Amino acid sequence: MSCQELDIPPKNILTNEDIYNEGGIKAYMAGMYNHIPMEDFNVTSDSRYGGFYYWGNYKWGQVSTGETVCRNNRGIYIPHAGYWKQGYQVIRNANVLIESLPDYIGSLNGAEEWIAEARFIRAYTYFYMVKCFGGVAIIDKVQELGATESDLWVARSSHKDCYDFILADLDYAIENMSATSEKGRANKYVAAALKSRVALFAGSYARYGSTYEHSVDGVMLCGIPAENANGYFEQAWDAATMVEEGGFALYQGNSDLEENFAEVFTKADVSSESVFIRQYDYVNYVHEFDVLYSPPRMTTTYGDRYNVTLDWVELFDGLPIDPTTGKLNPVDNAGNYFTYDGPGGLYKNAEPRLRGSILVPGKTYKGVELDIRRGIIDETIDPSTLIQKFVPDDYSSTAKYTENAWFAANVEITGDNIYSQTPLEISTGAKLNITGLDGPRTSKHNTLTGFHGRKWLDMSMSVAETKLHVSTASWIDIRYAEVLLNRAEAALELSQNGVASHEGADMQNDAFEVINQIRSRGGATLLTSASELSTAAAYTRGTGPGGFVLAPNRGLQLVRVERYKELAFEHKLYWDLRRWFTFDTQIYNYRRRMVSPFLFAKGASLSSAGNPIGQYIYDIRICEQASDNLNFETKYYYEMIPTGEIKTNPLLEQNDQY
Amino acid sequence: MKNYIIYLVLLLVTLSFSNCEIDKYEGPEASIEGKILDVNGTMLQTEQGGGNMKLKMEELSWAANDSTIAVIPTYLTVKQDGSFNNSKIFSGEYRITPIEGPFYPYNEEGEIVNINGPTTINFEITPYLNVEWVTEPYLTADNFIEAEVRFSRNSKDGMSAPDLNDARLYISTTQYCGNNNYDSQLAATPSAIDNSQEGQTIKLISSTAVKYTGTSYYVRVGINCQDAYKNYNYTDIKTVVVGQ
Repeated sequence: MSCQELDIPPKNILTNEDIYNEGGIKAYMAGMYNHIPMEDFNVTSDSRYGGFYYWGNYKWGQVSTGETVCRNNRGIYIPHAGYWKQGYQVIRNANVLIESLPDYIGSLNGAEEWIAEARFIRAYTYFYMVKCFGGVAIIDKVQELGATESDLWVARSSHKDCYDFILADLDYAIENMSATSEKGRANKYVAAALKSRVALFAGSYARYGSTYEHSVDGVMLCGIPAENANGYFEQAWDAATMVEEGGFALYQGNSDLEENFAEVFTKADVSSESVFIRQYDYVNYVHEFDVLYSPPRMTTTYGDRYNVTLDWVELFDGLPIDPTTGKLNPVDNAGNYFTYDGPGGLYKNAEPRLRGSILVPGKTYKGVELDIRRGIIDETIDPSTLIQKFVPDDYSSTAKYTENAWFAANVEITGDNIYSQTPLEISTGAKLNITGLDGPRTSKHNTLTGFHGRKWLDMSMSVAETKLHVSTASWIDIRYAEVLLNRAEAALELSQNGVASHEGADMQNDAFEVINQIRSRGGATLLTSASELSTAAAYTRGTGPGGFVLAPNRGLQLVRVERYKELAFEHKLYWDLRRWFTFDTQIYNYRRRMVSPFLFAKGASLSSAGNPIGQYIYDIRICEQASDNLNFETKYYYEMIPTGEIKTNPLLEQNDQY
Repeated sequence: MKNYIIYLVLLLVTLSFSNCEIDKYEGPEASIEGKILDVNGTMLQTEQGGGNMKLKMEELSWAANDSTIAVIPTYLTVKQDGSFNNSKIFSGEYRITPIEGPFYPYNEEGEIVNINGPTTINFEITPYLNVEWVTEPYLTADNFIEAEVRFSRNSKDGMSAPDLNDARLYISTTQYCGNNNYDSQLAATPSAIDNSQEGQTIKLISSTAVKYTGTSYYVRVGINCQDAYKNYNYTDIKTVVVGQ
């Protein structure tokens, strides 16, 4: 019998020779980029992957900040999927490179730069974990199985040490990476941009987090001593200004400011504003944003999860805002509705950045003319009639429209399916759909707020093409507008706290100029002078423009409102509210508000798309179908360390409140 | 096909006679009950469930001071009158701490309780506020519900008193009335209040008139402070009867 010895290397185990060559290291690195915790289109509540890399992101942190709501999640939603072991897997992979690549310097082309890139990846991953938990266990070596299990246990470092560790990694990356890179990969300026974000977070935790500090055995696991705040803000400012050298600029490729703002996102691959993006590929990695977030008429399935709240819309310029309350004002001094030519009359003069962020009624997208209407006022009522506001808009009343006697007698609404509703036929013979084909209706469909969002939606996909698992538009993780806003915030924090000038620049004036760059690109009203960024008292909800976004003073409120307007729906504001520690006061007994447009049947006609045109009134109120009372629990400022991890590593101390 | 069914039945029969044994461990046969009391021995008015406060229970005897074994806490919720009861709990040594309530933080060591059979333990806490009726809730001529309360602040050595936050009139159609359960149309927006109103009469009124006649409404006032939890100190629950 012939026995041949089968002693060949196993095919399924990669050896150093496989990795440490140019193609191998690139593949290794690509795998790590795939697994960094980037809050992109594929963020979900699914804990199997720590909340990432899975389709079905109809729940996102934005429903808790007053940005959006969707029918699947009308209460508060805190994305805490227990991202822990997935992070340490990426960190271990990065540590492998950081430890072994020095041996290949000279033999492997660009080995130094690969080390720097691995440290960028490690910093990126640690930053996400530190955002979630405060201080975590710093593992900067490849751990080997030792004699006992306890050799692998590592205790949590202080919150501050973690930030310093991340910043050191990023400094190394800035120092050792080249100035340009392929799309989706880091370079010197990407690292600087991330650093501006990281240092801004560290500064905020130091300045605002004292109430929630948590120390065990002298190690401050949560919270950073206040005296460090200015140092971090200076680092943030320095890093942000450095990004400018990389040739990044706000995208201004289209002279129509509304379309221009939408193109920032749809032209992410070519925009000068995209600092760090993630690209998708039909075969390997897709997302479902268009399917889930389009209005139902613009997709083949799902849809309607992108209901932007009125509270957010009210932050913009060019709307009839009452300066004494900061609320949209739909009625005159006597409490009677204003009438507007509609649809969309209310938003005619709105800031282009708003119009580029939401879908505007009456405009056509993907061949579908957006039709937003809650109901129709009977033809017997002349549009000149004075109509008293139907329900109070007092942040708490959830009264039904039909409880208003005038409404019940004179306004038609329907609970019928939107596509099979019986239209109202008026004297001209025109048949008017009672509910707009894109909502809002007497059930939890279409839109719960009277708005549909636009940011990120790929309008070049036809309705038929908008299917599950096909979207490949790029996600922008860091864009230059955020870097500028990081810079403005750091500058104002410094200016208000004893650092009037830094690196020869006047900090208050720097914040002023940067904010005006953002505003100018968005078509917003410019700040008139740096002194507007004052330390005067900030508005609170219902007392003045921007009062929804809480801040310690008016100057910082203007900066924070600018972030709200510019960075909404980008997974940024959720973390901002956490680092400002205003989440529990801003989202406290908060009920999202909506706009309900009503059409006067009298004088109405039909557009070429068959939608009614005529005189509209706009009612504002708490969302009828999403009236939940939202409260942010302070325990979520620092998430719970997964208990399974504590059992395997008993040196881990749990956070407060768990 | 028939054969398959026969095999399937045979398989089920085999399985049903296979080794099923009741494990040899004791069930959770101990119990714990008690009350959350203030210094005067008054039970804390709170909410049903864990929303307004809870008891953190750490079972210490299993780990037996071995620091390599992590002790993961469990939580016991309370009833709205401030009592609690769990009749199915494992015997052992527990550290129990009342947490997250409208009271000054309990000492960090909690109470070490040996639970073995029926156990009773009361916790004495210092509520931030005492809230009491000045005028019990009543129905106004135009069918609004109105009530008047006042609050007094308590202090605890070595701790600073949190500032007042808001007061709210809670109205419910069931006896479970509080921030966890109320009629959102009747309950008015919380009224912001501040420390200077201590001892003064605070008048609260429902946001709309009551809609139904021939029924009872359960009414309660809660006032909270700007601490980390913003949980409420409550009055007791009164009933407002709406006639025909």
